[in-house]
Amino acid sequence: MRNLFSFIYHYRAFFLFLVLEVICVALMVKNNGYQRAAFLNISDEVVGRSFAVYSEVTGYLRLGEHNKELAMENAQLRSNQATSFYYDSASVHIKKDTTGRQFYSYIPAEVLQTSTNRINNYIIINKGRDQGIAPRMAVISPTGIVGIVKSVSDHFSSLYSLLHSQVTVSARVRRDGSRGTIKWDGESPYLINLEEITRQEQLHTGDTIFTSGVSRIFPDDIPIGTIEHFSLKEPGNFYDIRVRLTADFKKLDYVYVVNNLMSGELDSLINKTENVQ
Amino acid sequence: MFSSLIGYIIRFVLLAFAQVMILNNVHLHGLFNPYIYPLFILLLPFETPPWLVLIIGFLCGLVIDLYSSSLGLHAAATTVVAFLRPYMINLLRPAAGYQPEDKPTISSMGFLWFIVYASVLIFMHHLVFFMIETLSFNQFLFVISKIAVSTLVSMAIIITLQYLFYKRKRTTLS
Repeated sequence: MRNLFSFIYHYRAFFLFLVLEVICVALMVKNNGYQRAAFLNISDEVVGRSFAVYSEVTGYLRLGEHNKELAMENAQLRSNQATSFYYDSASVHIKKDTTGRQFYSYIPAEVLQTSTNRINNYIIINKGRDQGIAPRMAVISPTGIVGIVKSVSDHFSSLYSLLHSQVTVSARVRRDGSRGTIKWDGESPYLINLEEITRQEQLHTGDTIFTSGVSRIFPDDIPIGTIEHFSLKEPGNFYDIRVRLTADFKKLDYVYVVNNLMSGELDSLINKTENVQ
Repeated sequence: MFSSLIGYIIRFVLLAFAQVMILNNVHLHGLFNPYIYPLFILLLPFETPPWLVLIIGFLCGLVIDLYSSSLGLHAAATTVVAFLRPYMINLLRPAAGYQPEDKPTISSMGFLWFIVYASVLIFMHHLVFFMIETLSFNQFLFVISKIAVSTLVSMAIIITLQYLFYKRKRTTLS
């Protein structure tokens, strides 16, 4: 026993090293889980606050760009309004509020911190549980999809960026509607892979890619990117497609968190169907 | 002792700030990300006991982790650096041994000593960091080139920092 203690004492630095590394691995494994431990929510709050100060300063530097983006989005929204359509048919069907029930609501938020240089990138935004944000909500920007909410504290949330090795989103080529899955390969923050499109489909460079609406997280028809180049994977039945993202993940500043108001209903329905099978 | 402790804390805050707010946003098409905050561990006094270096290294990595939402990743890499530091110091021991006033800096130990000491430890940090980060990935060549380029860039920044701060301080103080 004495020998054991003296042995441990002699190599105490090495044992301490082992213990610390085990803690690190435990932290990494735990952090990769869907829900983070409670104490991390507190640290999210502290870290979020210090990033809030920083982003207040840097936000001013890009005001011009934001104004342009907002103006463009406003113009687009205005053109979608009922009053900006010209109906030449005699009977006009305009959706009334009583027939159209709201499906998605959007919570605006400011990006406090974002990274693009790692294999698994995360984003911190300045809205949290108090503003109605919950894990698994989709996040989009005026230019395209951004990510999925990972965990929330009272006033901040951290998101899985689209640039994350574990995030996949169902996507659709707008021209012919063929469906695939987008997934990041960890290299360039401007390019993403589109997988599972079979060789029967006809593709062109420049085709636009949108969300397919098959997933319960992202709404339909949110832009993702355009096809940069594609080739056939040999041997195989699928295309190898590189998509240029429309959203610039290095310059993300304002985003919208998408709240699917009927997700509870949908989830319970799907659970029921799966239970029956 | 107390004033030097405050000095070390300020140094850590400055390095962490530079890392999180500036360098974490620097990357050319994902080819390299310089990490300079391990410099803090390298610059701890020679007489710091190994167990304390380990604890400081672990905590220092953990703080960076919190700010880059990668819990455990930086901490694992800095703990390795902290563990290897005493061995590096031993390996590079000058013939006359270390003097009490010696510090692990360019101005105190000379350019060659520092560049060997720092580049080995920084390389180890980057190696562990990028290896763990890409654990489930099979782009081996990409990772290797990323480690090599990042190490070079980090070393360039660290040496610049040494000349910016420590040379001047030394000449005015002594």
